[in-house]
Amino acid sequence: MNPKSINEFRGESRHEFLDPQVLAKLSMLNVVSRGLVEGSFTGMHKSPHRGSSVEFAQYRKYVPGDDIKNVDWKIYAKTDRFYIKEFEADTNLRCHLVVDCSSSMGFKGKHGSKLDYTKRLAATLAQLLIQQGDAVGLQCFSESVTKDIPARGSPKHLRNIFEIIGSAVPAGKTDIVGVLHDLAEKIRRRAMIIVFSDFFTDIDALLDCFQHMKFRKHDLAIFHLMDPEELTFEFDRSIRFQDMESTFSVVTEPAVIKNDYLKELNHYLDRMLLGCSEFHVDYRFTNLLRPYPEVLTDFLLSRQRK
Amino acid sequence: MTFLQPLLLWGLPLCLIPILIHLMNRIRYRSVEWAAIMFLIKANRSSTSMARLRQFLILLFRVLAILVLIFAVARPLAGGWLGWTFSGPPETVIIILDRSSSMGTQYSTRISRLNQAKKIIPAAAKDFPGTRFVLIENVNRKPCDISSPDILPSLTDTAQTQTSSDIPSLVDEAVNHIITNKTGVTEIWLASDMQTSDWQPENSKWREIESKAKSLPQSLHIRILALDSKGDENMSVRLIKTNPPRANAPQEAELVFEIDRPAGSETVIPVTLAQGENRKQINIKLSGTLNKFRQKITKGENISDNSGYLELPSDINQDDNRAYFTFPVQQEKKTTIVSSDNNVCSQILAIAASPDEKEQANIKFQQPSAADLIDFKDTASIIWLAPFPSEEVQKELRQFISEGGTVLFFPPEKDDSTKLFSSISWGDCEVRKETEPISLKEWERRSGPLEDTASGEILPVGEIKVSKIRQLEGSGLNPIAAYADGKIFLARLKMMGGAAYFCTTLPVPDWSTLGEGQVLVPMIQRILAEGGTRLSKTVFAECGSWDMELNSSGTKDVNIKENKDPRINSGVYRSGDRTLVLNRPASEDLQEYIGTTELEGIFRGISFSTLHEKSGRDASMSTEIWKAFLVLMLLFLVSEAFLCLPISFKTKTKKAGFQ
Repeated sequence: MNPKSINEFRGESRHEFLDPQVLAKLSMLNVVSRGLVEGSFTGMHKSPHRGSSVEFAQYRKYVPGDDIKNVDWKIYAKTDRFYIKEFEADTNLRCHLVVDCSSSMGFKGKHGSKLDYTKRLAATLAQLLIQQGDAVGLQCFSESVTKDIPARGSPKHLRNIFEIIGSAVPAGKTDIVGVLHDLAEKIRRRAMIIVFSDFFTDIDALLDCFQHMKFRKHDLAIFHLMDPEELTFEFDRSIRFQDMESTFSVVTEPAVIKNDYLKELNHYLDRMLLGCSEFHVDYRFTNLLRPYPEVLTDFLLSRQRK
Repeated sequence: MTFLQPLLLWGLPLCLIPILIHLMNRIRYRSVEWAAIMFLIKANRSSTSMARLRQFLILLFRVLAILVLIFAVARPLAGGWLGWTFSGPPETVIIILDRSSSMGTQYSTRISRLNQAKKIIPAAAKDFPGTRFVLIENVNRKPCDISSPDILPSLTDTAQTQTSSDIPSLVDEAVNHIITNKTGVTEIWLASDMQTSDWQPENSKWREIESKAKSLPQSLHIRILALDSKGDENMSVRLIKTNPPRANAPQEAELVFEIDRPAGSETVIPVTLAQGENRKQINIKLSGTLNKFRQKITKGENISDNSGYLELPSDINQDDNRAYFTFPVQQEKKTTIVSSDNNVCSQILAIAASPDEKEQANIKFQQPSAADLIDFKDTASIIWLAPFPSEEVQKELRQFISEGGTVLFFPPEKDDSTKLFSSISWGDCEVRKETEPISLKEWERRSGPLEDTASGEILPVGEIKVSKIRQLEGSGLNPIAAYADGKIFLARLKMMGGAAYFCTTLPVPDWSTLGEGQVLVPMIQRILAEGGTRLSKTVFAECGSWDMELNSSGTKDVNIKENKDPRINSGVYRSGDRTLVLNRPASEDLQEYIGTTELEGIFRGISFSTLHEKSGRDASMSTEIWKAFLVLMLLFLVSEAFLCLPISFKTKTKKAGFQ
């Protein structure tokens, strides 16, 4: 990377959701796709196409139309037949960061809102991806996609992404199911899709989305963000719970329903974990209690091993 | 329910605090914006009725905890008087006070049963300022209005006596008072130590009371304050027999005492024998429950020197520790048998009247036609085996009986329509077949001619078979024994100092088996002894049974220092030229008490409640139960705390990966 780009990156670090120290630590790791991806440029990720590379792939018979420069003449000398020598084609990664900006992501506990946490995760990943020469796109959504930045790999593009992330505010209802189905169709080339959301929706419909993504051969990773308060439900007196995405409210004694609440939550998390395993989704349950660098480190390291 | 600190009950509205807090919490809830509303909706929906019930129970336990706390600090009393607050105060309360000798037994707090009753009743009555109170006690037996039960301790008519109580008569008197005075809603408060001899569960008067009570237009409730504390440590002494001096030792007489004590090991106790100014201590060896011993006394110069008492060491009842005596003299039983001829019947009666041949000189026979020649002044008793006499003789008989004499009338063999004292006459003769003789069913065992022996044995009255009965008609008769069909066998007509007795069968085989003697002899001997007191200079009697109405003001205590009332106190008294030795009734020493079963039998069909006062610690009808209320409060709080245990502890986000 040239000095200008580095300065530009440094300039971006003034965003509150970017921590240079974290970036410095994580820059040792690469964001690696678990499957094949289709990129426009040469890169570090495996491509479904054959191309020029140092890594041999296979021999195949020459067919009319093949470029004769690819004919392996040594084999011809030995066997008197024309064979084409093919190599693995490496390409760059097209990664789409899909950020839930619905009102529920504005839930703010002692550890900040889920959207703020998401901004740190998404911005850091975007920077790492650009740093390693991959293309990054950003889709912010609530009921529909509100901000859509196609995947590109230039530092200028990264600045746009940061601006969009920085300006994102929680608003509106969530239709994550519709949005993910649309994205599965819209992103035609195999890509890495990272979704940041609290996924408070019907679990069956959500798992259908994951299946759709798998069918489209995307490498799907999800960061499931939940606040500790949502996990423990520790309240002591009558409370009117106001839905953040509608005018609906429930007045109840938390002590009375706590048991049932936790039962429902556990059931939902069990289904989520099982579904992600079935559809090869990289599921990252993210308790806001954990520092985001730790979450990202786990994510990147697990991908290194793949 | 009664409380010692009723003002604190104004705090009862505090019980509403948990409910108010609950409602305020429902109204003044905190608003929280919540993202995971989908789980909340499902949880709220699946929140079962059990959870709501649990919340209700928590609230209930909190309310109850405060309620019982307020009750506890108000110092509640529990006992048989619960329900007053629900039924309203009665218009009249008739207080029946048993002040018999046994009511002097003390509790461990050194307060006697009677004094405890006199503390408890005013305390219980203080909440009824508008109620009229009537007192009936066992000596006067007359209803007496009192301004307030508070004066009970200071009334002379409520002082301890050494008499016995006739509870059926007292209750009957109370019911009669209700009927006569139309007292409105009335309660009878009966304070007694429940001694069986006083209550007489077998007395037929209870059934009369039952029928009277049932005929009352208003409801009657009887509240019984049973002061039946245990008197296990009590010893009592009584004089059971006096043996007059023998001819060879005219200055020396023998007294037989009996000491009753609870079962215990063999021991020696010191007793005090006081005679005149002399006091001496005697050691008596006690081995069983009943201990008889004989004591010789010598004749003094005057009545004071002859009289005295035997006293036991102090125990929980001081009233039964003394037995009074005087130097006994031979009693003359001068008897006249009035019979038309010297028949078998008169011979049998003569033998029964003088089983000892030496005493036969005291028996005189007189023709009915010459009845006016009877030396009434020198006769103790008359056995009348003939038709009722003429009016002139009846006047003499009336005078004779009024002066303390006794007359035993037997039925004439032939019909006779003459009336005695204008009201009593012999009716038709009822002859029963030999195969169906009638026997006796009920008789007065407590006192009178057919009472149980001094050693407690029952006379075989029930074994008498009667084939011929001449019915007795008249008013004022008090039945002493009755046949199985309820008709009178023996009746008494009390007249001033003496009494006339009427037997409705003859002691001959044609009539009955009465002539066999097991019943006839003691019956006649007792009637003669009763009449004998008329002539005797020395009278041994039970306190309360001796009629003092004749000349009670002239009766003086032999020991002037004590100056006691002879109607209610035992002691040695001088009445004219006669000496009266009054001891408490022997039945008062019996430690037999009636229980709930007997009470239910007595008050069949009458509403009654009983409070057993056993401690003698508090001047209340009840015992304090604030401790029980505190325990209840703790139970409620523990239950509430258990229900408040967070159920969420059971369910957590289980997987470590989710934390």
